[in-house]
Formats: sequence, C-alpha cells, structure tokens
Amino acid sequence: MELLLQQIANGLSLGMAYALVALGLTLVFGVLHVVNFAHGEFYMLGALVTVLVVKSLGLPYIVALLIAIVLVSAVAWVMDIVAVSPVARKPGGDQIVLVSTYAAGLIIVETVLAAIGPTPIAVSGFSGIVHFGSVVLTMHRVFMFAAGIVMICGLYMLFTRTNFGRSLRAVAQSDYAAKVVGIDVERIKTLTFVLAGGIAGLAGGLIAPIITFNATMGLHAGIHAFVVVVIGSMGSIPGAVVCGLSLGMIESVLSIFLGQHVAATLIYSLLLVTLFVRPQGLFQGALR
Amino acid sequence: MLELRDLSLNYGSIPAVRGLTVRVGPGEVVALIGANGAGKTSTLKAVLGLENAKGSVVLDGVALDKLPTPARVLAGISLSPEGRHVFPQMSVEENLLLGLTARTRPQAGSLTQEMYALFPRLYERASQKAGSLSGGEQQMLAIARALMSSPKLLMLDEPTLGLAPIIVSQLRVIIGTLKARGTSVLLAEQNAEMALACTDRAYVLENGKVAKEGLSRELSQDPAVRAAYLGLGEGDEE
Ligand SMILES: Nc1ncnc2c1ncn2[C@@H]1O[C@H](COP(=O)(O)OP(=O)(O)OP(=O)(O)O)[C@@H](O)[C@H]1O
Ligand SMILES: [Mg+2]
Repeated sequence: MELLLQQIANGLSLGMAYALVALGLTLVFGVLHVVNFAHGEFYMLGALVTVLVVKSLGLPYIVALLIAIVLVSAVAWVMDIVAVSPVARKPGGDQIVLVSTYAAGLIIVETVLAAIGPTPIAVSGFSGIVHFGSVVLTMHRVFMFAAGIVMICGLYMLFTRTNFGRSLRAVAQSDYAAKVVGIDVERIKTLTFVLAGGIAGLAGGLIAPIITFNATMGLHAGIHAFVVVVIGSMGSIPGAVVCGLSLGMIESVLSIFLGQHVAATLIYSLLLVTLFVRPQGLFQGALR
Repeated sequence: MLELRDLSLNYGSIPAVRGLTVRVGPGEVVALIGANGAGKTSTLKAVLGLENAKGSVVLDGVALDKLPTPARVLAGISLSPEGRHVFPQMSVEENLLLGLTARTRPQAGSLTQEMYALFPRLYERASQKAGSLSGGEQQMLAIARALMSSPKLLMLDEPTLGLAPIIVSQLRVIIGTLKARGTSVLLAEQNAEMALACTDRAYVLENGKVAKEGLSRELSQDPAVRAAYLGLGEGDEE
C-alpha cells in the first residue's frame, strides 16, 4: 500500500511533465491544425539548456530554468519560420508539416548528439525531501508539480482573460471567421507555436534533475505526448492535462508490478484501443 | 468613401470578378444584387483583402491594395460574412468582443450594450454558446459583431437569409440609423426586392461584371430588372 501511494505520488510529477508536453502539442494542433513531430525535441532542449547552464555556467537551477524557457521558445520560433508556417500555408500543407517537422526534429537531435554526445548528464534541482504521511517526495518533485500547476493556471488565465487568448481561441475555432474580424491569424499561429515550445522547454528543464538528460529523451516524450493528446482528444486542453497526469500515475504504478518496459507497452496499447473504440478521444470538442 | 477600380478576382483560372468599378459615397447605402455566382461575395472578400484581387480598393482616398485584412479592418471596413461564421464555442458576448479585435477597446462595455439594445434577442442569449443559437440569431450576431468596430463601411453579405420578416424590417431601421450617422453600407443580397427597397443605389452583377447600375428606386421599376430579379413580368403589378 505504501509503495502504491509512493508510486502514485512519483507518477504525479512524471505525469505533470507529460501533461505540459502534451499541452503544447494539443495547443499547436488546435490552433495551427498541424501535428508537430518535433515537439518532443523542445522538451529535450529544455533539459539540455538547463543542464548546460547549471554545469557550465554555474548558475542556479531556477535561473537555468528561465533561460531554458526563453531559448527553447526562440528555437520554436525559428522552427515555425523554417519548417511550419511556409509549409502549412500551401494546399495540403498540414500533411507535409508532419514530414517537415520530423526532419527538423532529426536535425535537432543529430546536432545535439554531434555537439555533446550520447552520454547522459545529471543535474540536481532542489534538494531536500518532504513527508506527506508515509509518502516521501523529493523537494524537486514537489516543486515540479507546483510549477506545472502554476503554468496551467497561468495558461487558463491567458486563454480566458486576455485579448491574445481570445484571439487564439478564435483562430482555433475558425480561421476564416478570425480573418474576417481582423485577427492577424498568421501571427497568432506563430505565437502559439512559440508558446508551445516554451512550455515544453519548461517541462524539460523541470524533469532534467529527475530523469537525467540524454539526447534521445525527446523522442520518448514526444510519443508519450502524442498518446496523451489522442486519448485526451486532439485540441483539448483539459484532456491533455487530465490524461497526462493519469498516464504518469498509471505508468508509475504499473511499473511496480510489470517493470518499466511492459508498462510503456501497455500504454501504447491503450492508444490503439482508444483509436479503435473512441477515435475522438475522451474529451471530445476542440480547443475552447 | 469607397471606390473599387477595375477590380478583378480569379480563383485559379476561374474568373469570379471581372473589372468591377463600384463607388459607395459617405453615408450611402448601396446594394450589389445578382444571381448565384454573380460575384457578390467575391467582391466583398476582395474589399476586405480576404482574397487577392487585381485592381484597386480605395477608402477615403487611400489605396488599401497592399494592406492585409487586419489593417483594412482597422481602417474602418467590416464584414458580416455570408454563412454567418460566428465562433461556435464562444459565448455571444465573446463573439461581440472579437468584433473589436483590431481596435482599442476602452468602450467595449458600452458597445456591447448598444448591440444588445439593437438586438434584444442577443441580450437574452449573452452567455450562451454561439453555436447553439438558431440560424437567425447567429445572423444577428454576425451583423452585431461587424458593427462592434464602429466601421466607416459596413459590408453585409446575405444578411436577411433566415431572418424573420420582423427582424428584416428591424435591420432596415438599423441600416437607416447607420446611414444617418454617416456610415456607408454595402449590401450584397440575393433578395433583390428587399435590397432595392432599403438602399440608395444598386449595382446589378452578372458574371462578375456590372450589368446595370442606378438609383435603387429606378432599378426596381426597370422592366428587365423586374423580370430577372424581382420575379415579376413587365405587366405585373406588385
Ligand atoms: N473559393 C472558391 N474557389 C473557386 N471558385 C470560387 C470560390 N468562391 C467562389 N467561386 C466562384 O466564383 C464565382 C462567384 O462566386 P461568389 O460567391 O462571389 O458569388 P455570389 O454572387 O456571392 O453568389 P451567391 O448569391 O450564390 O452567394 C462563382 O462562379 C463561384 O463558383
Ligand atoms: Mg454570395
């Protein structure tokens, strides 16, 4: 029982990382109507920047995290300019974006491998432990969960209370109507892509002290995010958050009994079952 | 006010608008009438920059041809599009606020109140999702949304489609009020009878060209127009 509670608690922080990565993916799908196959690489880059800033520059972890958000947002912006908006604008471009972002993702991974190699790099986040009854969590996991909650609440405010958020939802619901009322649709799409990159960068920076950085971590995260987004309904933000957290917990709990690889396999099977039984996902309805 | 000079628009190799010249004066209410596919919607889209057209769109002496849609909306043009295109998952109120997108909005509150006064139906539905409104209510919302930016030129594309007669006559009153305020209105209508009855001048489009133009009062007496668009033969009485 204690082990179970412990794994649920651990799963929540892992799930928060999934939720944040999935959130960006679903946001991009909801607003740009494309699937970004390189999205997981933003997460990897977030972890990389955090690790490098702490190790090489000796700056505090929290500063590294902020730098990661900024730099990864910048990378996302460049990717949008190079591999997304010019491609998506063409007829049938939403399909071609799959390939162009896949290529961009490979370029990122290979570049990182060439520059720093495949060796995992560890970094420490916040030290200390916290007791919740019999459950013991590292301070860092608690911080990670809290940071995720703050991010999600911030996004909620952004979407519901600001002009940018309202315009973003307008574009998600109808490109054409958004153009008619004078929204700069291309700009909103670019900003959405950058925002999604920044959120993934934060997630990567948050997870780095927990799973140690390696250059291929983005691939794994990207696939997980994809599972979360499909199960949680493409384009649904609540779906991404709830399914991300659940998936983290399920994976964490299952790994007690089945080992990590079997747990992951089960989760991918869940994807297939969802596609078969309820292809629109559990949280139908587009981004609101 | 608004001048379209030799405006042409092709969809690929299909011409939709061919060398259109149209003028709308300040405070003038002008109709574009014509059969299905005559090019009315395409003309309005070209004016707002939603499609790339050749020729020139001039508003108050300034050529808008290089400007993207958001800048044209800012310059004072707004459109209630054919097919309504409201934001289905947003409330009526949010839809109205989106009509202000391109503008500063300290007066947002009073503008929405103004719209609710014009369309009490929308007030009753203020927090309802636009997608769950009836067709006619969505049409009112599309018109109100276009009015939110206090445009210099309001373009209405098939605004009476699906509206009950009482709302149509209300719309005519609204158009009259706008006219008195100096707002110009360009009305694209399938319903030629209604369009000619509530406008000052009209252009009859055929295959993307102006086939006839003149005062609406006179056009509605024109035998050819009556036969083709008002469903009335030459000898018929209304
Ligand atoms: N997106 C498009 N792609 C290709 N052809 C188009 C497109 N939109 C319109 N057309 C063509 O352009 C011509 C003019 O269409 P338009 O919609 O402007 O007509 P309309 O006068 O508004 O007709 P209606 O009264 O039916 O609304 C039509 O022949 C139509 O088939
Ligand atoms: Mg039309």
